[in-house]
Amino acid sequence: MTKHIARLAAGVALAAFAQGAAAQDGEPVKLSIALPLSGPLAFSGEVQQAGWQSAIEYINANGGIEGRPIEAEFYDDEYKVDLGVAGFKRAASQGDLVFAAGDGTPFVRAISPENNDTYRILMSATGFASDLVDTERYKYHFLPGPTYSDMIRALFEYMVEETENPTVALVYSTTEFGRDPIENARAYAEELGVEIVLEEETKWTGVDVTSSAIKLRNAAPDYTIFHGYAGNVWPEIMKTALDYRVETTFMGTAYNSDPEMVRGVGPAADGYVGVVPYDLTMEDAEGEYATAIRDSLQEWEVKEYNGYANMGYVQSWITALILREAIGNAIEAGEELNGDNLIAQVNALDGWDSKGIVGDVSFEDQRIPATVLYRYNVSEDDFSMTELGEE
Amino acid sequence: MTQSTVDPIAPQIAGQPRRTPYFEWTAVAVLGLIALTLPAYASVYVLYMASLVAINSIATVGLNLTVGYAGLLSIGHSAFIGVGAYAAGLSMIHLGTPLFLNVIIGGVAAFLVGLIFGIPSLRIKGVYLAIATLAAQYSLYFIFQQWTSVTGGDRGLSLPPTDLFGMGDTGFYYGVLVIAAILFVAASNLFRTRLGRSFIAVRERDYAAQVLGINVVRAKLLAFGIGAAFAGVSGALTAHFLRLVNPDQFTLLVSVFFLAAVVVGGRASIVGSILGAAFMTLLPELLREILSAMPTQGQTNVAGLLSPLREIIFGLLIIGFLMFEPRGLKGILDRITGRQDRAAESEAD
Repeated sequence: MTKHIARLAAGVALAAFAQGAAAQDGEPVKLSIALPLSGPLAFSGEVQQAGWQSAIEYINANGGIEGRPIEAEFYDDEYKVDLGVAGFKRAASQGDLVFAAGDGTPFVRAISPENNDTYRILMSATGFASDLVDTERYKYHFLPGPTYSDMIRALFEYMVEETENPTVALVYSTTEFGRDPIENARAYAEELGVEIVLEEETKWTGVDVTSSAIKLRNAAPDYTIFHGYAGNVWPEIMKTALDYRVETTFMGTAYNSDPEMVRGVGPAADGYVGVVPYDLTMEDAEGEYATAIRDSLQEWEVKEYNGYANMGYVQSWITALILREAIGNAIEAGEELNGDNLIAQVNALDGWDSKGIVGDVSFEDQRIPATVLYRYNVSEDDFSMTELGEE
Repeated sequence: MTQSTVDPIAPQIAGQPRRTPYFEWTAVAVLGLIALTLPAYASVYVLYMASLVAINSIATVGLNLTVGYAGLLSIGHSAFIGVGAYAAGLSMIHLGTPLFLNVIIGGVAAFLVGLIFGIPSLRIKGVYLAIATLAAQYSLYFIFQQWTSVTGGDRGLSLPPTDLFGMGDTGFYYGVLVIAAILFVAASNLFRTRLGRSFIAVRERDYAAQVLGINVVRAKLLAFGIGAAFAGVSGALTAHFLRLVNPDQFTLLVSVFFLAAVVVGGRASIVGSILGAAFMTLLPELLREILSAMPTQGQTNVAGLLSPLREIIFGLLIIGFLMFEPRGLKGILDRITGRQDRAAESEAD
């Protein structure tokens, strides 16, 4: 009996070693990842990079992709299109590049025509721009989440469920990504019976928000959606509007629904409703991948673990895991790892179990249209998030 | 400021042996040969960076004409690059015009816009003029962003590919090289003409220049216009190069990049402009390569390591140039070759 257990243990150890060794010994799967690691968006790039690193470490420690380890090269493009393209060409010229990540939609727009014609490399980026669903134009690009328009639609659908004939104010920054979903939002509002009573375009940065708050007071919307910001402007509008006794439910999309950001606003954000692409509550994480993300966050030395994940961090993880799935399937099928085969494998993911990140994933127009809505409960000394629809 | 005889054709430094012209011609010939044969052995990435250096050099030369030679401080240069890019892009989309024609269209459009935004230079100078040129930066950016029906708004214009001589990236590289060479020679020769020397005279003392019979109004406006035209050509090439024109390519930070290239390369110098643009464009890449070659204890986070370091090095270098070599890289080159640039020296004084 003892001998049998010893043999079994030896067998398990050998299998584990063989799996690890295979990930180390196989031909590497090369990825090029461009991120804004310096400049005004460095705060976001650093988080995404940490997400990529921990995801790749996890995948390689678990056998890599069909025994082949992932080898990623990071490139700081400062969120500049010309540098992003330089990074892409640099990686492509070294040969055997399987996947290229970019840091924003302008980069994707710049490189896609050439990538479609010449390089044919599978790619993705951190932006959620609405036009990325144009699968002819962005032939080899996949979006591991919903578009900004999808997010606005999810908020509208929530309003319609909660309120009869809801009215809404759209407050957005005067940037490309601020304006991105506005046209679609008008169409969705008409379709779903939501009345847009105010469209307020503001600066991307700044502190003088009085006029915006006054407009909100005059419009008196049931809901106010903030879109297209990072860390400032929208919190000031919210605080000033509350000072003016504006009674509205504040909402936000993507980056201005990031837990860390909403928490930073303080009690003014109590009751805020946010839409994000993934499950960001880590304490009740279930499923292999979600718990792996939680474990990596707990080990991350740069930021103290607070029970919630950053959106960019999870986005890096899910992109890496989708790559493992799609590339793994292509290798298994004996296919060449080019853009045509790999984007077909991404699109073929139907009901793929994201193991706690965002339920079962199916791609539609090369994006994952799923969204997660949270209500943020914020006080001076407490913060929590309630997933809407699961209360 | 010291009154001096300004001669951009550099004389010999007293007491120092001057290298023979053969040295310079040999250097030019070697560089020319490297540039011409580059596609034979370089990767697409190297060709891309070489094209980018050439495009940025054209814009830097343009800014140096306005700032360095004519002494008109401008921080709206990237907006003129934008005018050239949009003019070329629109022409390409709607008229199907080829690269060389688009370059002319971009240059002319930016020249005309530069003339308009040069008007404040007739009344004000120095930091006041710099602030006035912000108007160009912001108002043109506003037009790029808001005139959606023409410029495509935030998403900009997506352009068809450019395939010069059926050679793809290589063809474009040669095209940029030819255009850059023509413009550099033209800019150098400008200061052998009455107009070019009038720029320098206006920079040194505009009242004195007027007394000497120089049309100061014409000189200042043309200094702005010609500088902007170079920017426009650079913009047209950028449009072909990236196949994308959007407002975020032409921000104030981009103007600051070119100003820094002028300072680092050397004011009032065409060679300095090229060196400055090359330095500013390639330094991050060189740092990246150097750091990639260094052992990082098994970590692959070269980019994460480099990013803060590069920003610090960038800042230190610019401060270093301002403190220890106000004549920039051109000053260092002059010392190596035993030449002296009185124009820049008098400016530094």
